[in-house]
Amino acid sequence: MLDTYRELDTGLEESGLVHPPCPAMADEKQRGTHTLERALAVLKAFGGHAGPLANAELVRRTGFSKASISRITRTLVTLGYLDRASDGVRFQIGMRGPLLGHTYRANNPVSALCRPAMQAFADKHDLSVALAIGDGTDTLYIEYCKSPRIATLRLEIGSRMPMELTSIGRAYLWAQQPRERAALLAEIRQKAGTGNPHVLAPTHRAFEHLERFGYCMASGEVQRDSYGISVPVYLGEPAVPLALNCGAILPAPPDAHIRNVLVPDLMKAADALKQAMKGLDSNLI
Amino acid sequence: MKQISNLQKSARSRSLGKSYPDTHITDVRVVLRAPRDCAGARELAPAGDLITPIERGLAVLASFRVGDGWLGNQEISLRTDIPKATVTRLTQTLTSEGFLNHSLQLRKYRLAAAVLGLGFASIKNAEIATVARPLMQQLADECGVFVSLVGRDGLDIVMIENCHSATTLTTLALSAGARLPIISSPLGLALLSGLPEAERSYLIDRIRLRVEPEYRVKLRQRAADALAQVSQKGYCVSVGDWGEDLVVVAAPLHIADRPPVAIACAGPVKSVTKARLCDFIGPRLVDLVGTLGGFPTQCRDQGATQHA
Repeated sequence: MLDTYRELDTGLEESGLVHPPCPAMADEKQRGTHTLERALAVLKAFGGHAGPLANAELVRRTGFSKASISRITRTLVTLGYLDRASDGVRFQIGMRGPLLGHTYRANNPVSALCRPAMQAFADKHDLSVALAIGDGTDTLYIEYCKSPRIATLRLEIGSRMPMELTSIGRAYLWAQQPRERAALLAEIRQKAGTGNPHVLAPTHRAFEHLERFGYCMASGEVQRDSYGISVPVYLGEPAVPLALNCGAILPAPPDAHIRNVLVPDLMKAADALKQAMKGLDSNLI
Repeated sequence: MKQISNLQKSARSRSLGKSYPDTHITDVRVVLRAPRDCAGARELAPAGDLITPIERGLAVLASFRVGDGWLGNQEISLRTDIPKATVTRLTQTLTSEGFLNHSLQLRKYRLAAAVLGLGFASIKNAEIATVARPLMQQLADECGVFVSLVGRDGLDIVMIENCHSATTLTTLALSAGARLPIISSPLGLALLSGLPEAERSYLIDRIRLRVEPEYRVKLRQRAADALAQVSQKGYCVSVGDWGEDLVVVAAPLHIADRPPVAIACAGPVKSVTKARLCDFIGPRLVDLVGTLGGFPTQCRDQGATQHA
């Protein structure tokens, strides 16, 4: 099984289906869109958190030149998407970006439809539950519920994490069509570069686990004493593959509890989401 | 009811006439810092300082408002004043980047999940609003007033959270997310009073540039008056400044490592007398501020684990 995945993604890399990160742009119009993409990449570099980040850190995270970063940040500050931090040097997320997120949530039925089943699960097991969608090679939480009684990783709606590092990202990858999955895996490998050849090893192990048991688990990888259990979930019509997880900052419970209680319940929650979103145009997700 | 509609009208007339879309938001992370005027920035920035494709691309995203479903290129072009051909190119780019969803049948667009990645997580961490909401509601119910939590964005204040009393019909008809110029209301003056001296006078100087000359002297007076009241009692009272029939009591709330905010109670002058305001509601408001001031230690501890 493992080899099949490897074959798929190396093949794709060679066939040129994966775009290099910064394609050279020919004419003025394309350069315009390219600039916009760069500005959005700068905002994304904050990872959904407030910051603050310095220009140098943004250069490191995006790979853009220092001159281009400082022009972009200046524009974004003027437009209200970034603010200067209290030191006057670094930047933090401004007011406008969060407002867009709010408009999205207000106009989108998905969170209202998913919330009841997710909150019920969170309350029953005193865990946090998240529904994630892919955003580049990251997963983005589009809905998040937690039991009021737990401490969490402080990941919330709008949080982004690299797919290959979390159980929810791995379940998301596994749920994709072979072609999309291979493209994503190739992109992740390309980003990791030669310095980290084993970046996908835990992901491939998770795929095997998903294949056999229908869920995958990560424990203590992102944060010590935390764990996450994830399952793929297919929502809307035509069905869009997403991933659902549950977790907490606690040592993982005994295996028997996970296998016999948490996983079946999480799968039931995934079914409930599927029912709740039945017939919903998946363009909305 | 007539009275309420007057209140609504006066509050509205102050909130409109601004270039901001009237967005409804339940939580707003109000950002600390270096003063930046929002509305004035465009005129102040030298030409060439703004990168047009960025400005236009983000304007396309911002043209979607609460209550909108799908929008076509034509409609976006009308709302943003960007030529349709350019809008078409921008919506394509934004769709391929995941910020817009495109419906082939409708040939229209709507905001997509990736916009959540532009900082939404940072506002959801606004524990102040989460913690304050039940306490504000309690105050609203007990005192029969409208309670509002505001923060600052540039030279505006933004409503973060509003609570209506269960017993009265008083409302300002301003929802969370509404913006008002700082000086237009006692809330802004209370917020200014809670700022460090340097920041307050910097802001007042910037505001002065944007008001009619005859109000400039009054502006400093009003700010100084509010500051005197706040330093004496912890809150400032305003009768009729904001709306004719409106009494307001407002207090700044500054929690370590958090952007400064202000809380205000407002009610119609007929049912809330000035005596009740000063003797009962004001002190209750100060208690609330004290209670909220007590919680940030716990939040900071949680915050420390964020990137662990």
